[in-house]
Amino acid sequence: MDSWWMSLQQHVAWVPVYPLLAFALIVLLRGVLPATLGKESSTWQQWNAPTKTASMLLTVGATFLGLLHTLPFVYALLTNNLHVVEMNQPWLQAGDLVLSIGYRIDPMSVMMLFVVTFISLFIQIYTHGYMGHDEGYAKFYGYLALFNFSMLGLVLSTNLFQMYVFWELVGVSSYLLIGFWYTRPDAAAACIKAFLMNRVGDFGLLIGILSLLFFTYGWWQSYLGVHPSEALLGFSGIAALVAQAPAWFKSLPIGIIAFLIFMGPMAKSAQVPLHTWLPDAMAGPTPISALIHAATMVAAGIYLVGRVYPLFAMSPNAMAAIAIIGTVTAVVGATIALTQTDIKKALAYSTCSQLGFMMAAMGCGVPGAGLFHLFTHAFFKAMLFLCSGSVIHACDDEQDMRHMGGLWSKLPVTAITYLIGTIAISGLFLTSGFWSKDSILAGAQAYSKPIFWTLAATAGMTAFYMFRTFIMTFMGSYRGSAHVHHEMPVMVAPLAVLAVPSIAVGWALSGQGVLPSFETLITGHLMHGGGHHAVAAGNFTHAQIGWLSSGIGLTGALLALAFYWKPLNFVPGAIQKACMPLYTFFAKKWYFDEVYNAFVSKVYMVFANASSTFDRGVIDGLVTGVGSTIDASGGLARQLQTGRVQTYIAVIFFGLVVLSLLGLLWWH
Amino acid sequence: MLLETILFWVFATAAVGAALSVVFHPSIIYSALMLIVAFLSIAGVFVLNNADFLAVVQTLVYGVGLTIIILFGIMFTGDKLLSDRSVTKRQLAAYMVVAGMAFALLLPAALHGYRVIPTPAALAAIYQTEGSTALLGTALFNTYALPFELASILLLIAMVGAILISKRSLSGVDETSIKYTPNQSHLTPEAQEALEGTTTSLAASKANHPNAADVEAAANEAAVDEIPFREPVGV
Amino acid sequence: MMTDFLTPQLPHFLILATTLFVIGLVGVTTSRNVIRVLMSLELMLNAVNINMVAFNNYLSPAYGSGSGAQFFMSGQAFAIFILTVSAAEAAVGLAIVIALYRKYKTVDMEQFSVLKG
Repeated sequence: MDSWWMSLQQHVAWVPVYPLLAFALIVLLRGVLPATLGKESSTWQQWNAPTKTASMLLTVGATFLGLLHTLPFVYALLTNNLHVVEMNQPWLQAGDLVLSIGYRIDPMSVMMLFVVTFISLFIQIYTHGYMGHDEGYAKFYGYLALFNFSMLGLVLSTNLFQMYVFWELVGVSSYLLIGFWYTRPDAAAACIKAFLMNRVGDFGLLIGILSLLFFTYGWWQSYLGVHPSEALLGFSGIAALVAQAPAWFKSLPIGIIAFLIFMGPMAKSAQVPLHTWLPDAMAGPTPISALIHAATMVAAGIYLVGRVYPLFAMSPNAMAAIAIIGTVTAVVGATIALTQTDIKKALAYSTCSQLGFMMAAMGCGVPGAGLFHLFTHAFFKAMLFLCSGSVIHACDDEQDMRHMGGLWSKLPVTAITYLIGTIAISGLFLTSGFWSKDSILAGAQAYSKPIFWTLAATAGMTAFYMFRTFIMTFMGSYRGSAHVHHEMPVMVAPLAVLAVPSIAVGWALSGQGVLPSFETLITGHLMHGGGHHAVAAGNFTHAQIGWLSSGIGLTGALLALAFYWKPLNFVPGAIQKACMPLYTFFAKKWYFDEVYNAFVSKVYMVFANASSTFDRGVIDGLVTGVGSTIDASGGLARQLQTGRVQTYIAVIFFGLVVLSLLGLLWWH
Repeated sequence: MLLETILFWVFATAAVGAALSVVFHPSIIYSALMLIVAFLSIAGVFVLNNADFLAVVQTLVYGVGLTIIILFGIMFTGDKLLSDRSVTKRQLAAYMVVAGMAFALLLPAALHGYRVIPTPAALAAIYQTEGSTALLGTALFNTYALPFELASILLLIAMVGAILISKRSLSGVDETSIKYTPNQSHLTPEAQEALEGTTTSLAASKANHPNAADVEAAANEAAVDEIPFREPVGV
Repeated sequence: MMTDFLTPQLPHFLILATTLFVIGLVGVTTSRNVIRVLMSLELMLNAVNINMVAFNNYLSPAYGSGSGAQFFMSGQAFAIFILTVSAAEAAVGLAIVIALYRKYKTVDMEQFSVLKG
């Protein structure tokens, strides 16, 4: 038992390596199989078939192995037997600066490992149905494997540098997958937009990491001298660093550094004002939207904040900034989601809003609650996206909800699971979203009243827009023209599986049942190294908050029914008309894109043009001047190279004469 | 002393004049013959410097042997007696300037020789009694024994090398005229036929033609030039 | 004596050698016929030999003391070696000329510009 456990721990680094191998093999297969199996007579489809099957099996198999490897750790975590294990290997060495790569097993990473492998597995199975007729089927699986590698590597990272590397890898995978249908203009634009937005954030993150290292390099040297097994900028070291940091460092630099580091999560987790890439990213295939842009990658930002939480906890200003940004994001996302008619866009803004909830929880000092919401949200939001994919697939790639409706009878499993997801995300009736959202609200109540009430109102909006999408899609009568196909078993099976944790996981980890509560599992570790934010008692007790949020959610749901369900349509036209200006404002997405466009075209382009002129006139002039000078002198010297021996002899003698003259002058 | 003076000026004038003819005479044959004159004059200059043996060697090796080789070379190659310069007037001027500079540089060094003590009387006495040949022989077989032997090896190598380079080849094919022949599968059928035709006629002509390799080279050249290429397929 | 400068001394031989050398240099660099180039090259080598022999004659080491007699023929010995080397060079050179002629069907130096990149 013990040795088995030890070897399991030692080989946890294989969890990201499985998908990496799968990726490499798929790349090789795509090159090799056509060459070996291809006959000139056979069609592309024929020789592609074995590649497709092999790539699917490889990717799913790799993820399955990863999940199998993770489950014992999950069991240990739930039974309170998990010990933090960290292994570091020197990676890049420059003088006494040693950057390490390694793996870290602790409650947070085990939680994320489980989320990533579990959801990935079912989304990959679902992909087989969704992408079955796509020409890029094998390539898609290859990208999925690459993403899994990057994400799992990020989860297992021991230090900020390693995390940054995988952070960028995740960004690249996301870029590739958003632009998977790169011949579509919107997809091509969306992947570039996502990449650029993330660059802005990653730039801040990198500067934050570097300035942290700059200020604390000496401390790290002495710390690593005492703890040689840990990594430079390691997460456990950061906790110790924060505990021992001098007062001057705590006063201002730590806040600035924390905010710079927070810029990374701000872009990756689509927080205002860097959120606009996420809705556009829906141009990618739906499984990607479910996996990367709802469940896992966008949660990486929350995960990073959780990882360096001690650093944030030391700076009240940074915490306040995070809380406010999270709350604003929640409100902005929810309000825009109210007006979207594209089912995927609505879900995307919903994701944005929920990420705002998580980030607000981080800022309010309840990281356990934020991570808990991440955990539950991953299941039901992935399921919701997969449902939307199922609907889109059935309606011949129709995404506009105005052309749907009445699909309840034609897509029963999808409809039921979508309803479950809707209830869960609205926080109703003891579903998983109920528990996690309650924790966030409880934390917010202790932190700040305005934030608490804003978040509570946003929870109501959440219920409203989610039920709106449900009603528009599944209830009423069918308004579209396309023939609705039947559900595919390979696509609805993952939905059914994901529905179970969507309902149950919140209650299971709420602390009410046999298992310990999620927050005690996670937070005990997070607070290691000094933090103070235990949930203080507010005006409401935990139970009251539960009733409150359920009540708000129910109100939102009923309002949605009142507005959008034809039989119940009792909202007077005057009210609807009065809402129009607000509706337009939300439907225009708060004019974020317009403001950015104006900024870029008016302000930024002026600078860009000026520097471009400078670059072309002065710098290029210098560079090409050097080049053309060399070219001209080369042309001159070239004339000596006649290729004839006699010229060479003459030149040699000329040189000899000159050297002799110089020698004479030198000696006399 | 008077005789020496007269002989020196005769030899010097002859050598310079002959050298100028070698370089500037339009006919290469005349140049070669003038080279003999130059060599023999230089042999005379050697005698004036108490180098009897060298003078004899100079006459035998240069004046006879080398010139005959050169005459043979002219025979082998001399179907075009090129006489004009290989350079433009501007380049010629440049080369002359270089040569002039070399001359100008060497001249003061040569005049420096006035400061040198003339040949000691004692040495002249030894030359009179023993002769410089005996002294040279002693030097060559004592001090310079190893270089002397190495020189013989050098000559052997040069001989073998000269034979190898000027020989056609062991297999009878002139390697210097081998041309790249492209893969025939890419050629049109007509072209392949044309190529086969040249090779068969080549085999026939090779049997009785003394200069078969040249014929083969010419045939290859013709085939390569004339065969129309088709775009490669299936690569 | 007015005609003193006519009496051959070391400088006379050196100037003669220099003249021949420069004439040979001009021939080597400007001739169009390969064989003429070779001949000019031989001229240059001979000019050097004149130098060697003249120096040997006029600049002998102090032979009078002891066994110095073995060394003072170095000039002539080197002339012998130069002669040997130049003979070898001429043989190989002419062989190359013949090979070149076979390949290019010419002895025109202007055609031998394959050294051009």
